[in-house]
Amino acid sequence: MTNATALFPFRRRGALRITFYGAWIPILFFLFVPAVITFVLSFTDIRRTPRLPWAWVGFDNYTDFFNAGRLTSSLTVIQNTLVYAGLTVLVGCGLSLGIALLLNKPLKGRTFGRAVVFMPTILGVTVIGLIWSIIFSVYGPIQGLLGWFGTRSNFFGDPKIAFYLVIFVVIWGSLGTTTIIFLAGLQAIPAELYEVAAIDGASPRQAFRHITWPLLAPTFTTNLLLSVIGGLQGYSMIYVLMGTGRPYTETLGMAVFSAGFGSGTTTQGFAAAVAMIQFVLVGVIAMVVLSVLRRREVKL
Amino acid sequence: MTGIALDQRVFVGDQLQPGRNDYPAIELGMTTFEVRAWNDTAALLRATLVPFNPMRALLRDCPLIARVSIPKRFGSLTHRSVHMATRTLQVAALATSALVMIGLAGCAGGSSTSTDGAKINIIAPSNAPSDAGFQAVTDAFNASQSEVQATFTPVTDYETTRAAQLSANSVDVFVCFPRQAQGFTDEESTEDMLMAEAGQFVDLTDQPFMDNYIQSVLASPRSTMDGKVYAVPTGLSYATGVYYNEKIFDDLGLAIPTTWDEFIAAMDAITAAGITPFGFGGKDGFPAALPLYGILGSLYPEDADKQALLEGLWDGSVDLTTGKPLEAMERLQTIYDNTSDASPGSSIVETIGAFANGEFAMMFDGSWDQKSVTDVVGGKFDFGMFPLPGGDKADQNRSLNGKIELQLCASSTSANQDAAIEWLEFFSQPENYTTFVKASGFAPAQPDIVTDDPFLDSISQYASDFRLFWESIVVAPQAIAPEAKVGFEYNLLSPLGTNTPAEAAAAAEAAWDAVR
Amino acid sequence: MSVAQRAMGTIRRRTRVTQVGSYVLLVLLILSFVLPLFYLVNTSLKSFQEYSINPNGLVQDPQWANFPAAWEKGKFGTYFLNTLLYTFAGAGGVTLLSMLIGFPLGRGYISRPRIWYGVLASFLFLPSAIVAQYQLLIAMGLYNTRIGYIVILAIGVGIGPLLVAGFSQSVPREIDEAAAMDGASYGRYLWTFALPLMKPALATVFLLSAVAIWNDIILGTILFADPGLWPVATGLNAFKGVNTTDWPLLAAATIIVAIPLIALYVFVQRYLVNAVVGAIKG
Repeated sequence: MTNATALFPFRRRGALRITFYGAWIPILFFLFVPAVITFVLSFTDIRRTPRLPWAWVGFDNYTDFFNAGRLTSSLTVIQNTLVYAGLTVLVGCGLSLGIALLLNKPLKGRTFGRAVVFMPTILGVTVIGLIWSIIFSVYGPIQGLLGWFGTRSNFFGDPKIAFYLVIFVVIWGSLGTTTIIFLAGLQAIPAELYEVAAIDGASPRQAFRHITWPLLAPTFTTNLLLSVIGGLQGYSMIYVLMGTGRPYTETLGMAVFSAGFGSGTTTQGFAAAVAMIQFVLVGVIAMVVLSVLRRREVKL
Repeated sequence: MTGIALDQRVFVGDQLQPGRNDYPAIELGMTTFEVRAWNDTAALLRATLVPFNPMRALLRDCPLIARVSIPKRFGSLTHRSVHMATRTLQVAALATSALVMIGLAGCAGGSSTSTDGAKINIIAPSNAPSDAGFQAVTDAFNASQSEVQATFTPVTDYETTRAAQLSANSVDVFVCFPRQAQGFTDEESTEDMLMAEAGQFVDLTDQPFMDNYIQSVLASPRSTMDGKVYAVPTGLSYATGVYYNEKIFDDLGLAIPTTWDEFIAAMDAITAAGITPFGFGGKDGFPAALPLYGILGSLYPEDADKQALLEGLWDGSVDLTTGKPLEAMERLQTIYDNTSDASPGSSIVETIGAFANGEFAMMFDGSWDQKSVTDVVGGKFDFGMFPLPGGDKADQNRSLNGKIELQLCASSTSANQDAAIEWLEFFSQPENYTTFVKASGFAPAQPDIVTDDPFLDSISQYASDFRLFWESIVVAPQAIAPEAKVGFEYNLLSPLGTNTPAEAAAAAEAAWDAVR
Repeated sequence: MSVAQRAMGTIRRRTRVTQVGSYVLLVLLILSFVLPLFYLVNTSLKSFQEYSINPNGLVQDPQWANFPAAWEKGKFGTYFLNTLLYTFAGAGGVTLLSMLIGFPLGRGYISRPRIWYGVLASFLFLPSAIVAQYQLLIAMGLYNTRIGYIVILAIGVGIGPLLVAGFSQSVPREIDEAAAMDGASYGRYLWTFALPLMKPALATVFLLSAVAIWNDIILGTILFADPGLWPVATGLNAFKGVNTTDWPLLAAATIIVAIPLIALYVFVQRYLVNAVVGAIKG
């Protein structure tokens, strides 16, 4: 097996082989093998408690996910996954682009602004979740604010809006990273371009359309791809804010955790089946997004 | 000025014709491009600049990275800076591996059995009063002897942690959920039933200390599995009762209702006085079902009635869309219609706080919370509990239904089984058990225990025979839609959902139909 | 006024309006991130009773004792130490693996690189393997051990190798050849020459994975049984589970967790400003 090409200038190839393949071994074993095992387990009824007997159940776990009694909640979970990914990506990227543009201007206090926007990333999921749980408690300040308008809400207790509140918190927490990436992209655009444009009489909107947007496009697509995949798979915030066992706020990732480690009666085999369903969904969407990006010739 | 040779420069302009402003650029020998307007310039630059690679720019400009720069020419990389960089990295690597060593050393301790003193670990789902009770008993146990060191750990996410600890063999006594198999299909087996079959629990049937407990409790379908007893019942609590604000009742001259009609009449009187009748902690999920269980406790008063309902659900002979099941949903809707607006979004603790503030007259919560309610109400008014009169006749409404609290099993794969049994025996001695019951607020599962608890004394008239509430009895096939697990989809009714009782009943029937 | 002067006036007015507008937006932006933190601090200083009566008002009677109480109740000291270990070991592992895989790949030392790139890209869409990882660690006896957890963290390389591979293409090739001609072996070259040159990429990978690791609650919940092994995010989440009721105590605990993070961030912030300024100048 030739693994070192003609470009390799060093005499001996041993070190290369050892380090390269050696690095792959733990990854394959602890990342890939579990992925394959998930596929296998999805055809069993293995339980959470160890050393209990288990059996092959064929496609039962999959048909159970879609069976008549469960269908509404399963479709809700799939729909939630798409809504979650869609909103966090679109609103997140859109807002953070605007914020990056704002923070790129020579305003006093913009360093503080940048620091503050990135703060939630530092604080982490649990801290953010707790902060917003307190703020959105039924007796909290937002309730007071709504009171001035004569309405009230049950926030996280209201099945109709709880999910959107979760998405709001997720976006608030993730604006930091996307904004910083956009800022880096904006700063790589030479300032002279804008000066020339201003002298030639371009309005800010024209400057954006013809300079900023095209030069930022690769950054935008990178952000987009990473956000889409993250959005389709992420669920820790849902866990912190809502806990397990609530289909109306679950996405597929959360449903895997809920089914495998929550307080229901589902087996871990069933959880593995949900994980495979998520895999198919993420795979299909990622393929579509990737092919769109490839057309824009982005090189990662 | 810039130090770049003239012929290396590029000039872009729109006035490059001889005689116009920009012509001197050509004269000076610069390479020139002619454009018409600024957007041409932009397009030109876009085309000629190295294509912007965001990742590379990110790596170069990422604000999180300390001042580093890619050496533009190889010559700028001196031997010294390489040496310093290498040193730093080596120190960092050393530090990391040192930390890892410490960590590994630290993790070596798990469930080691030392020769001088066995250690046992007891876990239970976290709940402040019972946590205090277990801790008190454990402390007394440790003080009373020196061979065994017991540790009690309250746990959140109980079911996952329990499974995890069992696999690590790091737990000796834990809360289990025994359930007698009903003879339905295999789908019905819960993890605990499988664990019993696999012999993972220590058989306690013949242990002498089990005689300390009320025998009818030990005989219930939630205590034995295949005729064997694996679990110690730590207490009893009641789920179908209604906490009521005695001051509001007295002010309005209301007596405790004993039939459904009296209950509605009291509810109306309270509403007429401008007070919300009911509240519950909807945000935590299960409290919304408590009024349902109260109603079912009246419509199906005896254990045998509930058992028949369960069998009917499994074999299809019960139709959830008519008769008593539908009536239960309709009565539940009446209660929901008169519940405070904040209930669906309030946690249990917020609800207790609201009850203490007089925001509503009656609260649906289990007697397991009675200590918390006493603390929060803090003597502002007297409160009590009566069984929810969900039936038309007083006879149906006389008993509180409840559950067997926190049953403790011993792990048969533990290395310290004898020590675990010792702890259970210590727990079961009447004086120690009394300590636990007094702290936890559970009703005693042993006869003749004096608790001096005014709340428990006040409800003893309703608790003379112990009856399991519906949730303890019902079991659903594994494939059932989760909302229909208990046979009644209470989450569909307003204000939690938007369906009528008939629609919710139909949904439950459809869900059960799909899995029969 | 001449046409030019009026034009300049318009431009100046438009600029001023835009300026004011921008400042308003900036203030709103900063408020939307600072107010929640302020509310957290406010809540943490209230006693349980004061919070029940008046959750939203300014605290009347600050209970500084909430902080030591929260510290003792949750074992935050242990959690912080754990998190430090896991972050360094885990992120270090990710960085090391990314370097060993990404560097030769990006330099063209590996034949048929497209296969490997494909595998790396597939990392992004692997199914959620938590169930299998849980069962695997149990079977290997690594369940509830620090080393097991660190291993699972360290192999979560994500886009690390791709970042490293991309960056490695901008390292001048003369170095390799020079080093090889001087008789250096690949291993020595990697350690002495390549690593320092790859610092920006490696630092990014390290930081990205460190942030992901100290945010982890899911793996911490399912792979540990012993609370003494928890990282701080899992510990805080469990603290919330046990104390769902006591918002002031929870807020105090949250602040205890947040303060070291904010301090660390402020410290790094200085480099942040310098790096941004340096990047613009250079």
